[in-house]
Amino acid sequence: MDAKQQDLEFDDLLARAGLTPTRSDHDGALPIAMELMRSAEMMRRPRQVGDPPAYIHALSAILKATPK
Amino acid sequence: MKVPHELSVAEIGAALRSGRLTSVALTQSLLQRIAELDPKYNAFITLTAERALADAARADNELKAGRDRGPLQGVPYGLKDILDTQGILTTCGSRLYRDYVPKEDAAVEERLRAGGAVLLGKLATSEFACGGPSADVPYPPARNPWNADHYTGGSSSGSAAAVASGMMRVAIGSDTGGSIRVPASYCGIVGLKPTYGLVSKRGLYPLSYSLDHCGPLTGSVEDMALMMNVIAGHDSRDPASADRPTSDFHAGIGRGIKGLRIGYARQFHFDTAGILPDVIARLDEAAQRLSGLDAVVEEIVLPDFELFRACSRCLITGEAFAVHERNLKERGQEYGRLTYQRLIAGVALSAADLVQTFRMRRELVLQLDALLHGYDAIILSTGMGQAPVLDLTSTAPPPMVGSPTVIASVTGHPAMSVPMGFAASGLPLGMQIIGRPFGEATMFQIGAAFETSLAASQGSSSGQRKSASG
Repeated sequence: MDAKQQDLEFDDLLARAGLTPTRSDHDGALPIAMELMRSAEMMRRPRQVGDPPAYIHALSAILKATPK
Repeated sequence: MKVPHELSVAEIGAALRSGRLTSVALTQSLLQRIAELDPKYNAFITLTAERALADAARADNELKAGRDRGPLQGVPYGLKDILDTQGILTTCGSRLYRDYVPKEDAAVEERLRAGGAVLLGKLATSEFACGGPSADVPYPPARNPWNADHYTGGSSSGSAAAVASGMMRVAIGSDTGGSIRVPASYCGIVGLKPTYGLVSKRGLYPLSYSLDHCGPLTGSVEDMALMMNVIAGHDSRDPASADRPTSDFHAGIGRGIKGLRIGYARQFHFDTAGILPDVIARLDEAAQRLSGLDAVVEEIVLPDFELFRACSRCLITGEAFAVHERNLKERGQEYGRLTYQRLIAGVALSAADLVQTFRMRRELVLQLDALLHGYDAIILSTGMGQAPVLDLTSTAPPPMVGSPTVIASVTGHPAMSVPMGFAASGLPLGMQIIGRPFGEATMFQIGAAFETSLAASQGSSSGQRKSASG
């Protein structure tokens, strides 16, 4: 994705979230958003479909603690 | 003879109980020191002098009457201004909360009050524990007592400045990606991120629900153990609180570390770009020192650090966006610009991204757990280097690098920063000790042995930090 495209995509995401930052705030946030997208990409890797996220354990702890 | 601001928690306790010192006299002395030093270091947002003197008088009267509330009775402390205090302004370092006065105390404050400690005031924080440092929020950033041109690190900036400058011996901060440990490292004091769930975070303004921790910043490891004896424990009103009994955190102090197994993540510091060479030199010395104290020190290889960093970025930014979403839309102009920019970047994450992040997190927890099966603790650097120069001219947030602190943030393991010496510049550096879940007592045992040995070699008394500001 080139810089122009990244810029437009970020604009679109902000608009969908109901945010209307100034140009300077937009430009300050864009590199962080790009870094986040790269980080999110690293979170996707081949796994067994059954490998659950960490919060599943928290949920099971809540259910265990629920009075029967 | 030591002056009051140099006394450790244990020494204060002994002096109060022997009648050599009163809490009122100690508090007055610290208030005087705060009046002299705080204009330079900006550690305080709100000073609660009147309340402190009343708390101190109560502690003195109770001790005289034989009512002993434990190791913190009569000991002055401060709270990061992101923790609720009943009837006392709690700003979160932000214009949005400039008039907020909570109706209830945070859980740690309840415990400290019940323990008879003396609240000196509310301490500076980066805006909502994630912004700045910047000049466009109502409260100036704290400055490093070792060199006021340098930053304390964030976000528990005021807590670190206050303890390092001797305005108080102990303070409370919060740590999401390193916000206790990094300022502790930069300011030459001890800072602990406890095991997730060990210290209640009820009444802490959230940054990231699954990564936030409450913990102390202190002048020594023994102070830390005494603090934890008061603030740790189950809180039925905090859903993240661990329902298990706590041990005596002080029990291992002074026992020595013969036979304890310590993994030294040495190669990590060569594989990670940007780590100051002085950090590796001090860590090598620290590993030798621990070995000289008869611990078994072996080099280990950590799981991929970039995965921890990426996982931490996604968790913090995703959860922080959820916390702030409404205010970002409705009151966006009231945030400091760096905070606002950091927070709105959260729109870039999708629901699937977060689910994958939580899956990754589980894998990383299991990997660190497996590594700790063979060791009582792991040592590595706290920060990438020394405290940076305080730059208030930046109009865009710096890149989200992620310190070595994010490893234990992501996994929830306990991690403590202890001073390990100095960079060539004279600024302090910190070593991080990561322990097994709920293994704080062993970490304190290691930390105290290291601290005592280092102090002896530097010619200062055991467990006493060198005063950063005279």
